[in-house]
Amino acid sequence: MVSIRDFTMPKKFVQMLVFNLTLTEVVLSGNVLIWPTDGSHWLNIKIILEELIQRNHNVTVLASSATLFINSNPDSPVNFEVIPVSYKKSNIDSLIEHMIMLWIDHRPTPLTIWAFYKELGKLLDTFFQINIQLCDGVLKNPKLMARLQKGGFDVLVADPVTICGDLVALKLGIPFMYTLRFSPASTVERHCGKIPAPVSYVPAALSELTDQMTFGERIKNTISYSLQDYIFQSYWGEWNSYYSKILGRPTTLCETMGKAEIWLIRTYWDFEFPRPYLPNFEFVGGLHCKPAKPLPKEMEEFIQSSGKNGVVVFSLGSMVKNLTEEKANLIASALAQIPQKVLWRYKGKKPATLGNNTQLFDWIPQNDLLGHPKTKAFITHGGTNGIYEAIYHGVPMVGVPMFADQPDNIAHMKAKGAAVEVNLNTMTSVDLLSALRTVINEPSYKENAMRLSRIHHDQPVKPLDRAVFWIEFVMRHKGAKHLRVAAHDLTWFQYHSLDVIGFLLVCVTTAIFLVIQCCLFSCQKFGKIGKKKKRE
Amino acid sequence: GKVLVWPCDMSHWLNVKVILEELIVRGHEVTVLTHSKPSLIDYRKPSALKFEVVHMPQDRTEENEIFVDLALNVLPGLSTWQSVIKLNDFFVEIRGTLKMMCESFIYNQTLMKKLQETNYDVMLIDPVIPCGDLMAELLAVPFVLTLRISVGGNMERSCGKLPAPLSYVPVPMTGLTDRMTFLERVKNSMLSVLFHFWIQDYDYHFWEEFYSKALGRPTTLCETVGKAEIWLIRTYWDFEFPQPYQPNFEFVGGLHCKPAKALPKEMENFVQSSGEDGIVVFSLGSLFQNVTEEKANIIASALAQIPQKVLWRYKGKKPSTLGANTRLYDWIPQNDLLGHPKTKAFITHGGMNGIYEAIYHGVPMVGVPIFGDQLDNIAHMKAKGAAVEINFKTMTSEDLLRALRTVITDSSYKENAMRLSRIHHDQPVKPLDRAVFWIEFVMRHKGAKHLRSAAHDLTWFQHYSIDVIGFLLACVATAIFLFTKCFLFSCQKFNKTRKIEKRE
Repeated sequence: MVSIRDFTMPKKFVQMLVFNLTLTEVVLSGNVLIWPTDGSHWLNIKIILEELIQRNHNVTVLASSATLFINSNPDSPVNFEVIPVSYKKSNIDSLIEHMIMLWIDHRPTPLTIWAFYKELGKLLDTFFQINIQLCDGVLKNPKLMARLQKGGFDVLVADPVTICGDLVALKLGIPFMYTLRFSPASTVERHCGKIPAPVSYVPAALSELTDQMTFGERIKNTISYSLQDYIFQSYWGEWNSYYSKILGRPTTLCETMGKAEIWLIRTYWDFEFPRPYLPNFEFVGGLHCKPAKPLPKEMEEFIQSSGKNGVVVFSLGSMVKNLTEEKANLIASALAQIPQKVLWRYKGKKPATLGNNTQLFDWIPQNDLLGHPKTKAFITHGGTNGIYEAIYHGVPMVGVPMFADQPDNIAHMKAKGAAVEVNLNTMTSVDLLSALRTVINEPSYKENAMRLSRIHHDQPVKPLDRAVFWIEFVMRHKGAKHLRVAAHDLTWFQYHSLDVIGFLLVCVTTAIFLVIQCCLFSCQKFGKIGKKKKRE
Repeated sequence: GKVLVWPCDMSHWLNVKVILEELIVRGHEVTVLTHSKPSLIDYRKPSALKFEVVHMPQDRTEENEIFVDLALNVLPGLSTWQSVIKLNDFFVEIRGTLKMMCESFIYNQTLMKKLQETNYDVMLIDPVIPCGDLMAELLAVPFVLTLRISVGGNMERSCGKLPAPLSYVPVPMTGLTDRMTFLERVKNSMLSVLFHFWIQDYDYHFWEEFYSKALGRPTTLCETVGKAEIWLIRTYWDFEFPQPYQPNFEFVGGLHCKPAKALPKEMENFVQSSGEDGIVVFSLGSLFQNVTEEKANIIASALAQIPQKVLWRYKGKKPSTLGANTRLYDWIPQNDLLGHPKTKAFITHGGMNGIYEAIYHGVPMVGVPIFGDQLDNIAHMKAKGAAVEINFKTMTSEDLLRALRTVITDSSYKENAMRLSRIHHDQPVKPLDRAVFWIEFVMRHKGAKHLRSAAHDLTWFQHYSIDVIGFLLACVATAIFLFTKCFLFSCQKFNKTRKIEKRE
């Protein structure tokens, strides 16, 4: 055994050397154009583009003049091309706030789903108006388009939540790829990306179901898929005409999106329920996660003061800034009753019930805190980024989901046994306290969180490297057409084999009909013969 | 960790062997189960592999010879339908042998006890011979499957829950591609149903009884195979048409391929003597090394007419039409030859190993498929633009000559072959490393249950949502029925009212 190991070392060293040489050889300087989406989505794109720059690529970000997080920095190696728009930052703020309040006040249930989608429809109209300005700001901007053409880009990387990235790529004649978390009921992935999603075991995104569904749940799932398909078909109509106009030929949003070379999905099988996918889909969940760095001195001292009890990290994300005073007091009251220290990211008024064990921060180094050995639990709104940091570091969660994919995300973590959910609308201090005690004291939650962490870390290539690899692949090969499934060239009735089934049914029916006719004819003839005999 | 390997033979063993050698290099202990008369596995030679040998009552080599004769000399003379019947008869016959072999292992209490006590961490199985999964279940060991394809892809779809929409995923062994006309899609659908029921009737029912008896409870082959933690499929997207798959499927085509090594001196001299014309490499694989004298002469006659030199792997009688440009070899270093810069084309039966060596080195092919997945493999390469196919049954010297000239002189074939080669080499991790990674993953995590689709726990009518659709249709029908009843009732009442008015 020892001799085998000794023999192994030189070979591994050689392999490492060859690998490094290969890396050196493979590195090329490409031109990447980024079509981002604002908000927490930008955080993911930002990490990818930083890595691209690290690998000697030129990166240019297309962004509007009214962004929340996307900002140019004179020291940054990133190039920015500004898209002039007439809406203001406050319009974006307002839209997002309305979206959040819609979810909080009308979280979709069987009873409220119709009202929810009616309100959502109004917000989508507003979003459309804003998005269309962004599109026009580029596509109907000859100067900007000329500069982009001259830029000689090799690939466009888009977050499809903000529509038109694909359109820009087509006008520039370059391949494009997507990076996204999901679309509702995976409508875009299913219809435009042609990824199959059998309703019997793949829960619709936002349905809050898991892959283990009872008969009733599978009915709900089927209806959920159908309903969201209907809503998005309605929503897409406006975009279809816009796309057709820009491209100068009849087309649809979906057909154009379907030309994406690669879809980078920001989840992995530690989070996801296993389901079918296509070779041009790459799951890169957790690409933003990194090992923890040392904390600021004051914060570290606060944590160490928790002794054996450890700390709880609490954040409701980058988008939610304030809670009602009542709600904040309710939460603070629960936090005050646990033996752990709490670091709470909160910008609102200091709650009256705030305990000595809790400190408020405008901002926290969340990843570093979650990676701290004294962290016992994470109270989170269930954003994918935060959840992945918790998975990365093996920290169990109390989920307080508010909007968009958050309820679904927490449903996943509950199913994986790493989280307990608390309802933000109906929560009491007792609820939160009970949930915290459960995830901290019940060993199965920590065990499950660590299991997901081990799964996450046990990948042949880490997610960020894979994400960048495929961007580089698309540049090297001018696309990834060999991964594009033939389903893109089929109509919907061909895709579902309805034409074949129809044809076969007609054949069977015709055959049966002919057989019956022959039988009847024979019977009739026999009957006639019988009559003749009688007559004679 | 400790790895136990279920036996397989011929070209299948060549693939598994590469994985095993890599596992040993990484410090794992590997034990290979084998019967006493394998064709390629040389268990007597000193090796880092451990072997557990089980003696079989019957000589299996005899059946290999029967199969070779059947494929080469009997089937080509028959019509398609007769071929199918003949082949089916052979499989029914061989099934008995396979069962006997299973019993030799499963019911060998000494062996089973020994294996149990060794506490293996994972079992590696090529399911071409059934029962590996059964043994894994009896030993309570997680297992990883490694395969190219099952008949009609039925095992992957039914047991592995691999979705395969018939509108664009061709049924394996049909010769179809992902671009199908309407009639081809009809054919695809019908063959899918045909394969499904044939496999169910011919194979699964047969093994169902055996598996249930061995496990002491009712079960099916599909249920047991479906417990595979990972499916290592020996293809990749350079060869495959893109299709949906599940996260516990890993595509590792070409894992056996390596850079070319230097050729033996005499062979290198022969290659160099070809000058600018280059060489053609010709092999019909490890199984088919003899063809009829007539066929050999047809082939040799064509080869004699090309300017290139030919290296032909052939063990039969020297053809009378053999040209001065052609040399016969009992064995050739195929990978090294294909990797040689002077190699212009590869004449191949279309076995997956050879095809991947050609892809690896970017060599265009003339395909002469004979049986099994070979026809399908060549259909793939044709669709990718890297091969021309000729029919083994009906081929003439002119056919072969024309095909060779086409792939050698039409630059698109070389270009397409090089494109596939670039795609193959441009992977984040090379296939052998990924194959070994997932075997190690299964050992580290005692399985890969987080990658197992929930589809495995559904019945067929649940899986296809027939129960949900039925329920919803029943709801709609009931609603329509009730509405109609109410409407009729209202009409009736209204009519009565009018009658009353008339009477008054």
